[in-house]
Amino acid sequence: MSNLQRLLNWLLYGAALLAILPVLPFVALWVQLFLGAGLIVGLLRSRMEWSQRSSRLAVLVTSGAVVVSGLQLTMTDVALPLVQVLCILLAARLASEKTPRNMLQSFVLALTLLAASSLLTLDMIYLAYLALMILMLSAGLVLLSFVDVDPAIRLSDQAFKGLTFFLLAIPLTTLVLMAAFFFILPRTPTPLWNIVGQERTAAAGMSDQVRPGSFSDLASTGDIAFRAETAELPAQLLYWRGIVLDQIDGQIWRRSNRHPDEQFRTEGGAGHELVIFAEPKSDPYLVTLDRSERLQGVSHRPESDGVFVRQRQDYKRTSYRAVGWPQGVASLNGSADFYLNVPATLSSQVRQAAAFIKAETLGFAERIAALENFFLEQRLSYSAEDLPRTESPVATFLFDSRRGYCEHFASAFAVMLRLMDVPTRLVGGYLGGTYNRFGKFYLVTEDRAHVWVEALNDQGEWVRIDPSRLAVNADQAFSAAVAERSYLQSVTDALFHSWTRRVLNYDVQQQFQLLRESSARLARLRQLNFSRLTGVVMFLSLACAVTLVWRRYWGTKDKGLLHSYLRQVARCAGLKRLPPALGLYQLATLSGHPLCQEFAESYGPVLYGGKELDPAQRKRLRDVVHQLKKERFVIEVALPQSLGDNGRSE
Amino acid sequence: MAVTGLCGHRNLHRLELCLLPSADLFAATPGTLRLRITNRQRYIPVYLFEIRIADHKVVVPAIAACSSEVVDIALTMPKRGKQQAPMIHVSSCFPVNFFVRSYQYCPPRTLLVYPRPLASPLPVHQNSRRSASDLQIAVPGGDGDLRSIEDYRPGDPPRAIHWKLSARHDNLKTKQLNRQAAVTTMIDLQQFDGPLEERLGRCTYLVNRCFHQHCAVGLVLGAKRFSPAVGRTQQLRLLKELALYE
Repeated sequence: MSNLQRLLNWLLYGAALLAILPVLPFVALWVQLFLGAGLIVGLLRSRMEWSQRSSRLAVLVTSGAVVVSGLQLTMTDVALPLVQVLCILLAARLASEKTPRNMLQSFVLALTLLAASSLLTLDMIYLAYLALMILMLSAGLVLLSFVDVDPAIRLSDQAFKGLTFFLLAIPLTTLVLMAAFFFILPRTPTPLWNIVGQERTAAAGMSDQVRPGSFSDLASTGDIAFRAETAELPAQLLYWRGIVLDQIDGQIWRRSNRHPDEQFRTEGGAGHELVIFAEPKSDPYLVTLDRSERLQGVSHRPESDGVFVRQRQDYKRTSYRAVGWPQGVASLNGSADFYLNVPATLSSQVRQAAAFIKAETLGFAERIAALENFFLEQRLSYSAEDLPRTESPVATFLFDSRRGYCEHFASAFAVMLRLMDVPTRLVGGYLGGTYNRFGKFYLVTEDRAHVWVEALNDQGEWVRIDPSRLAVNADQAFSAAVAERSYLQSVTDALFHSWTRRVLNYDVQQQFQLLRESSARLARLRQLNFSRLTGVVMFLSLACAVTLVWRRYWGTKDKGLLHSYLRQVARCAGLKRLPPALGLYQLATLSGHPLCQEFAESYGPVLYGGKELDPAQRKRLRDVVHQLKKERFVIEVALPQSLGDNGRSE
Repeated sequence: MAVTGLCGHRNLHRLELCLLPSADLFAATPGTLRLRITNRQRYIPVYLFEIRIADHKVVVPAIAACSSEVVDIALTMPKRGKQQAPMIHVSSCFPVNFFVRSYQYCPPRTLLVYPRPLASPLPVHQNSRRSASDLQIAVPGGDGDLRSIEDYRPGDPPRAIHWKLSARHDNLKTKQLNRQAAVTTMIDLQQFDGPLEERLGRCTYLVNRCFHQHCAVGLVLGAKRFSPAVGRTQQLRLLKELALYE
């Protein structure tokens, strides 16, 4: 086996592995075993006796496996059966004889399988797989063309080194062109693979109900809920609004179907532009900064209470733009009686406490302050573990266990406010987020899900209140609730976000935006300072001219060496320059110096015979030139310009 | 596709072919044509190209930048005489065998093709008088007839000294003999029967045989007569006459 063929085999197996790795977690066990068997048989084939009977058996088994996979194809599940068929075909081809035709088919199958894997998963690592696949495929095809012409072909070490340039240059140039084409080729509004892509299993999203007391433990998950590209904001403004829950049935807070007449006024400075990248989830509510308006980029229905409902649920990553007005004010027009309803089964203890506070206070601000004092006096602690399951969660929370998480705090606060004739509702969403300075976005995970309260003040304006901050351990609970992400995690997040933003979500709208930005930049270029531009152009022209002249006269090391030698000899002879028509051998004879003789003998074949100097010769000639610096001799030469006649140099 | 297409296009760029003197070519007989292929590109080697003449091809794996390689390619010329060098087809499937670039090179040279040698014995009839004089080969030797007497020079072999003559003179004299060569052969085209091409073929065979046996050979072609001589020059001279004979 020639060195080329050996390398080709390694490239083939490398490409196959790159294709198999992304799909391995998804395919069935028997397909995984089939792939393993194909790889092993391929590696050991040269040592095995392979009869025609064995070939027929292999074809039969492969055909059977393809049929079994194909039968799993349905209208809703196309991707996985297709990928499994490709895996089986690749395994069969790897196990077959390594003829050029079979190897070409193996490469094509590997590439197709990697492309098909994007139907199952499209993480950022896919980019690395793709780049490596392009590298291996290009190198493999180049080597395959040699082996196809002559299987026994061998290349010398030097020829192989030169070939390595092509093996690297072709894939690297291809990748650069692919990146350029990615931005400019026309795109569809929806990614094409969504047509055959699998329905994702949605992660648990924000709930559309609040049921304090139903769970004894709230499990925290570090799954990412969304990323929000925006400038860094003060922590107290980082409330992300998702859903409004305005109706309480017994213990459960729900969203009613009402459409209250609300008006939102943008006040308090400029809005904050956001781009939200939401992970797939099951609920239809689009999370934005509390409060936002003007969502763009996703089909939605804006509700009057600041909630945005997605109109088409596709369980895919979504991105949309919004403008957040955290200082904005929402006011309710019309009756607020709906927001005063409380469950009939509410504990008398809670009613008494609320009645007592109501009696002592007048006005919205006083009641809020009094209720907050009450919460503080109750010394409630924030906890998500080992909570009692009860039929009276508010009473248990306020007077018995005095432990709970945001749902308990918000629910209790809202109920008591309602008892105190303050219209109140719950708002569900997220609190805070980790700001990633590399990517300039907030990373919000599911364990930052939060519930707070909105109360209607005397002016009919909704005011945000977060009762969870009244916990005795609020500082500790909110700072330790989520572990900060490490430096490496932050960098990885930023890379992944870039991948999602610039590759996965790159659609026709972003293409047009890129076009608009390019046009704007081009328009700005026209306003350049022309004198400065002229200076730059002149400088570049001068640089080009100098480069061309240098290349002509000293373009190679050897030419430079010759010029150094001639300059040095002229200096030794006390001349400004030597006559141009003086040849090397003639010069050596005229000077009579052994160093000149040596130079002529070594360099003459290069100059007149087209030979090349080897590194040792070049080094020796440089030494000769260096030694000439100390020499002085006389050359009998005709110099009409410098001496005026056939004189003698001194 | 774009990148590999560009690489393929550049691969045959600045590739120079040159015919070199090669082995003798005989009509309807497999021979070889020697080519020097030079890569004039300054930095980039040339890979995986094929030189084809009719049904014969040679694959060259690589030629480094500013380098040459000499290849011999099989060739069969159908007829004798001065023939235009055949078209040379250069092609390359580099880098990935999707595109095959090629071009044709027509060397601006003519090839001298000798007649096809046909095995033949020497004709029996020989003019003895002419043979005797034709056996004279003016080449110094040690086993032929006396050619001249000269003064002894340091280095002459002792057995070359003519003792009898030396005794009559004050200095030593040496004998200069001709070379006793093998039978000198004079080939006459008219001595053979058959069509012209066959006769020329027999003559060609005999000329080659005599050359390999270091025999002096001469040729009579109609009115032309070529004295016997030995050596490669004589062989080529005679073969050329046979090739161009009409």
